[in-house]
Formats: sequence, C-alpha cells, structure tokens
Amino acid sequence: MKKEKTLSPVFSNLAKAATKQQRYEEAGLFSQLAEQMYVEVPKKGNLDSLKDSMIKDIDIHYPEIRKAAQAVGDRGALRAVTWGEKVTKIHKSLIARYASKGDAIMDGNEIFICEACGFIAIAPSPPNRCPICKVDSSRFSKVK
Amino acid sequence: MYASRNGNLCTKDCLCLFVCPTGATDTEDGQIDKSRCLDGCRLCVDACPSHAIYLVFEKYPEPAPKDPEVTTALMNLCEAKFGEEDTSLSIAEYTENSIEARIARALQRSTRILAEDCAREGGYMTPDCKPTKELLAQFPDSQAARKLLELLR
Ligand code: SF4
Ligand code: SF4
Repeated sequence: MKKEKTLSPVFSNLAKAATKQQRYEEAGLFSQLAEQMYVEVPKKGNLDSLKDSMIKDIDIHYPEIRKAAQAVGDRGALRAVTWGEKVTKIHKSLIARYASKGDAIMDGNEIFICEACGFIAIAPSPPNRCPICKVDSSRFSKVK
Repeated sequence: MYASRNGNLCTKDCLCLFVCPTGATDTEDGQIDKSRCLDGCRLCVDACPSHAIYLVFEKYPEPAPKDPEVTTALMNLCEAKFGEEDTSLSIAEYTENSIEARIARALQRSTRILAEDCAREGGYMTPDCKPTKELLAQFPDSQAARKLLELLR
C-alpha cells in the first residue's frame, strides 16, 4: 500500500502518458486524481529546510536508487538518477546563490524550466539545448 | 493501432493531409482523429518530413516487472520530492518577496517533474500497466478511479 501523499506525482505523470497516447478522457481523470491526492499541509517552510531535504536526497536517496538499479541493470532508473541528481544539485546551488546574492540574481534575467527534466535556468533567454537532457529550447517554459 | 501527432515537431499543412485515406489527419485541433484512423496504416508516418507522427497501440503488452528494491528506493525519493514540492509551494504562498516567490514556484514545478520521473521508473509507466491498475483499485470510493479502471480494462 502506497502512502497517499506520494500519489499526486504518480497520477500527474500518468496524465502526461495518457495525453501522449491521445487518451484524453483518461488523461483528464488522472489529472483529477492528482489534484485530489494533493493534500496540502498548512505549514511555513523556508528555503533552508528545503535545502536540507535536497542534501538528504543527494547523500542518501539517489545513491540508494543507483545501487539498486545497478544491481539489476535497470537503465531507465539509472537515467532518472543521472538527471534527477544533477537537477537537485542545481536546486541546491540556486538556493545557496539566492541566500548570498539575494534578489540581484534576477537582474535582467528570467526563470526558465525544462519540462522534460526539470532543469532551471536563470538567464535572459532559455538555452538552445538543455544541458542535462539535451532537448531543444522549445521544451522550456518561463516561470512567472 | 492509431497515429498520433507531436504538435511541437509538426510544421503544419503538408504531406499527411494528402496521403491519409480517411482525412483523419486534417482536424481543427491539430491532433489526428484516431476514430477515423485505419488501424495505423502508417502512410502519414512515412510521409511526414518532420518525423512528427508516431503510432500507438490500443493495448500494450505488460512491461517487465520492476525490481522491488528499485521501486522502493524510487518511491522513497518520490515521497521526499513531494515534501519538497509542498515546502516550495508554502514558501511561494507565504513570502512577501515576489522574487523569492518566483524562485519557489520554479522549484515547485521542477521538483514535481523529478517526482514524476521517480513514479514513472518506479513502475507506473503507462496508464494501462498492472501497477497502475492495482493502485487505482485501492480507491474504490473515487469516481475518477472507478471510471479509469473501466476505460483501461
Ligand atoms: S495511419 Fe493512415 S489512416 Fe491513420 S491517420 Fe495516418 S494515414 Fe490516416
Ligand atoms: S506531414 Fe508531418 S509536418 Fe506535415 S502537417 Fe503532417 S504531421 Fe505536420
């Protein structure tokens, strides 16, 4: 039995998969489930606690997945680890950079996010190719 | 089998419109009308100069089961990522600094993508695979879950 709070991403991912297969009715229902499972915890977090959790991901979770995936030769899982670990490190350094430089990191810049792997770019325009997963700039969207 | 178009690759208004025997490729919403597709005859797939059309099965064979340890490790991370998403969201909501809020929104969306990747590789890859159906069956009270099980049968 899965813990319910992990299920929103499971269902939102299935909504994306259903869309790619042109199963729009299913996609809508999976999105509905993803919304329903999103039980918001009313708490006040901060960027420092977020960073601590990311450090734990980098130190514990990613190595654990890598070990298990290598043992059975699961290349899909290894791909997810390779991309996810890099993106998590970028999250962590973004928080550190914001802590030291403050709002100035946004001077003349926008925030772009790669819809394929999650890479975040703070720059005047999106990169031509995602440095992590190599998709072209059309997969980037601006965060407002 | 039916044809499906990747709108990001399609350069519009060309070969598939002229080779499709049923007109399934010519629609106002840019997607191929799968109800008119002749079991993926693939004329459009071969004609498309942009490799924008692909074929999809109605039913997929069950993918090889995932190793339970890989799945557990991935779903543990999925849970951690979901916690981070939640924290990011609360920062975006509570902070009075609009730049911090924007960074938090970016982190939230990016973290969701990472969590989804864990779920996909953790075995919930396709809508009709066994782990997905077993999961849906755990929510007998949800109308959406019941309807999905019916559609995916
Ligand atoms: S596969 Fe054949 S019938 Fe289906 S959309 Fe393409 S050309 Fe038309
Ligand atoms: S042939 Fe390919 S590029 Fe041309 S309109 Fe059809 S899908 Fe688009």
